[in-house]
Amino acid sequence: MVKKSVAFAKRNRKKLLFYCAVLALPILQFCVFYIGVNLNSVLLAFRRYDFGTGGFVWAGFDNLEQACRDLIELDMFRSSTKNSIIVFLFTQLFGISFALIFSYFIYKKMTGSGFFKVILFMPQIVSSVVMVIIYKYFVERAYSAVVEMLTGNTAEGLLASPDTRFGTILFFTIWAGFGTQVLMYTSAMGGISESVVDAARIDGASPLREFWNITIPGVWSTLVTFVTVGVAHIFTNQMNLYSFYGTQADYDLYTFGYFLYKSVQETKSMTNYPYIASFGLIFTVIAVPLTFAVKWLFERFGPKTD
Amino acid sequence: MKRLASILVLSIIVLSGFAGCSKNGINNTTEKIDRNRTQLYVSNYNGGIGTEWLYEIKARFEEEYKDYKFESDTDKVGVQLIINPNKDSGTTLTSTLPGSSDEVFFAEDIPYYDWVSKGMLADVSDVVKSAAAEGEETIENKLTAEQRAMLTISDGKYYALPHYEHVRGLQYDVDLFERKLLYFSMDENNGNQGFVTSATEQRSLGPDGKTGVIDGIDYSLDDGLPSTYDEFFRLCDYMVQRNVIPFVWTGMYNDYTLYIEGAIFDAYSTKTEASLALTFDSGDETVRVITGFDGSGNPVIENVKVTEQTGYYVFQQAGRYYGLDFLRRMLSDKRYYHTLSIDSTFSHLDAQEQFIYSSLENEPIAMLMDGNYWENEAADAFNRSVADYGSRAENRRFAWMPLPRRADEESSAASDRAVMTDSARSYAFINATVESDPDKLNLAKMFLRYCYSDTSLQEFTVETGLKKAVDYSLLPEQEEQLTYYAKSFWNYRKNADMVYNLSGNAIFMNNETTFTKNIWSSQAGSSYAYPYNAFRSSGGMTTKEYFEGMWLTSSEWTDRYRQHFTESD
Repeated sequence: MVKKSVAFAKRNRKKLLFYCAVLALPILQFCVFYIGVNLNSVLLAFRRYDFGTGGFVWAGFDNLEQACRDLIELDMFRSSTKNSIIVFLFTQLFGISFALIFSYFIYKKMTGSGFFKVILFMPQIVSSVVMVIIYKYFVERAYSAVVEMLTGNTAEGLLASPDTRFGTILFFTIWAGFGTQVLMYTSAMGGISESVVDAARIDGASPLREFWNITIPGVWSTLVTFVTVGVAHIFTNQMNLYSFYGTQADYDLYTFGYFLYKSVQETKSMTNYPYIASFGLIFTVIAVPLTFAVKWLFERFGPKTD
Repeated sequence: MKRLASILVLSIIVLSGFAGCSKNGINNTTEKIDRNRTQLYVSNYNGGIGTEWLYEIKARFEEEYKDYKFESDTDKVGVQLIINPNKDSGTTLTSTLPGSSDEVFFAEDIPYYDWVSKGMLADVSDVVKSAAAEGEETIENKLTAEQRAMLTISDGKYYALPHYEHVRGLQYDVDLFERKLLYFSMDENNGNQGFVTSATEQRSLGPDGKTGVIDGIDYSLDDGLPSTYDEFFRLCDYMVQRNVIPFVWTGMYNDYTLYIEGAIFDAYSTKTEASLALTFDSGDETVRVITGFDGSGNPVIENVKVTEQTGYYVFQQAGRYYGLDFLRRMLSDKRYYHTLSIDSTFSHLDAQEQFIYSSLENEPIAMLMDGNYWENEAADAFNRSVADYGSRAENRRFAWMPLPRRADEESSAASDRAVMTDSARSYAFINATVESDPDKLNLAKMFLRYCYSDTSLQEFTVETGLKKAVDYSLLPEQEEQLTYYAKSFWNYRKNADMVYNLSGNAIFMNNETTFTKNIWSSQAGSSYAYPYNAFRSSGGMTTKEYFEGMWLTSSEWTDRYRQHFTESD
């Protein structure tokens, strides 16, 4: 009996060792590259670079004060606020709505669903750099050529014109965001019980009613996930601006996500990092409660499958 | 067929993943290691100037030291330079330098004070304070007083040497100007709108107001070129009449659109004025600032002394207003620029090629907005043009375009010497990791010193057409070897003061982006980083509106920068 229990303990110890070995690396990675990096980023917001010592020293709330003042006073942040909200609303309203419709279309295997699959998944499969280059040629050169051919007048490209470039990039962002959503929604729709769908059909439900009363509640949890992630993403979504312009987009196109990314990319000195980190901290303070609130609201008031 | 299509699609998908990749961080050398010699690993930023100049130094250095023993504890004799051409600059190197196997670097966009404070650079004071070759003065004596002061401001030691000068502006097609007679005549009333009617007609004195060769400087190269902004745009109109497109530039990179404002600002300014955003101190001199506009919308210019407390004047400098106004006028008529200049798929290389090919294809473009390194960068385009058009495309004459130094006929140039700004933050230095190996450090220092001998400096200029950011001259036979473009730039540089992008001022050091790239940004109604976009937006902004949007009030300045100066200073 004792012998058996020793063997069992030994076997368990080996299993535990294996389990620890498997988990050690990801946990270490999580600690260093998530907890460590974010903690450092938070601390950085309260420091400044000292050329004398070659390191960061305590600066109190100076950076946060400066960042708050800039957020209020600088026009650049007014356009960032406006653009970030527009991107959020459009990606949520149009992105999610169309993604649901396309997914339903594909889920029901309607005519042309294969074609839609390719077009919608392409931006996810092909490198974003390549997609942006193709898109740029299309909206700059092809568009101008077509307009000229049809009207006989020369036309500026859609990105060349300061009046149309925001809309042109926003369209790309929504289109490029479809792939993941369509994949997730079609997979969630595939999980809806066939018998419920059949019963509805026998009861004479139209496809629209089926979509509204069965499909939407069936994928509600997936939809809530996308909305929640979208809210959390308000301050980090850079609307593909870096792929379009590198660090050279103008202020009227800025989103907060682009501002943060670009600022880090083009910083000329260590002195800039604490200022940028303080924006990260401010955005986190706003985004965290907002994200939880939206998640709670959707779960509380959304349709129930039962 | 279906299988073939699948393979094709799959290939595109897989290969597209590499589309954004460059050779950054990879040692690009293919040279075989010679175990009998000591290796020195040299990294070179392979941008507009290329790496050929370094291979020439390598050949001489290896030959000169082929019998020299660099390592005390091995039998190795001689040296082998392993050159790594790459595109690693500032931000990338900040994170990769301590782990890099490269030992000596020639790179751009270096945050010098950051790296000195972090101990990333080896002390090269002994190199700088010694002569690079027998019979020469010390390298330190080849530096300007400002360079010496700024490079040693941390602790009195040198940690790098300035590499090359990188200047932005306009380049023009001399052959086209000659062929189409696009020069102003000395006789304004010659019956041809003031433009010469024959190649032999006497030309106006140009922006420098002089002609002929004085003290080795040829002042006649700019004869006939516009000397005021109004003249410049009269020339543009004349070009349009003669079926010449005045300008081309890349539409892909917004930064290039800042080149012309900067070049006009420099041309208008004295050295003190052009350095003001680095020093925030005009000393005993006064600088010209715009304090308002009169009833007709003309700027009211005042001469003021600037200190750190009144640093907000850097945004009100008169030269900035004229730089902006020049750009607005350039954009005011679509006939002034090539249609692709506003196209975001049109790269700087495309613009160079368009400029080179334009005359050959009878759709001439007069001027290219680019840096002084453009000719090197466009080497492939030049070769292609020769392959396509044979002798017609050979020995063509392009030149650096001297810009007007005064706003109108009534005013005079602020300085007899031209002013230019070097924007590259380009340095040569030794990786601090080498300091742990005294033999290697000695070799690295010998090589660095060798690169700053007169012979190496002259060779650099002959090969690249550019100037290293130290003082040296070329022999007449070396000047003859330069291309027409390089000669024109070298000649212009002889009578110019250079402002280097380095400052020990705390306001600048802590806000470098604000006072370099973002200095042209404005909050005029909406917010703009690039005046180019403001002037092109619907409704079109005036120069005055944009310029006033750049200003900071005294209290805004103090609120923002007071931690970097004492208010009683």
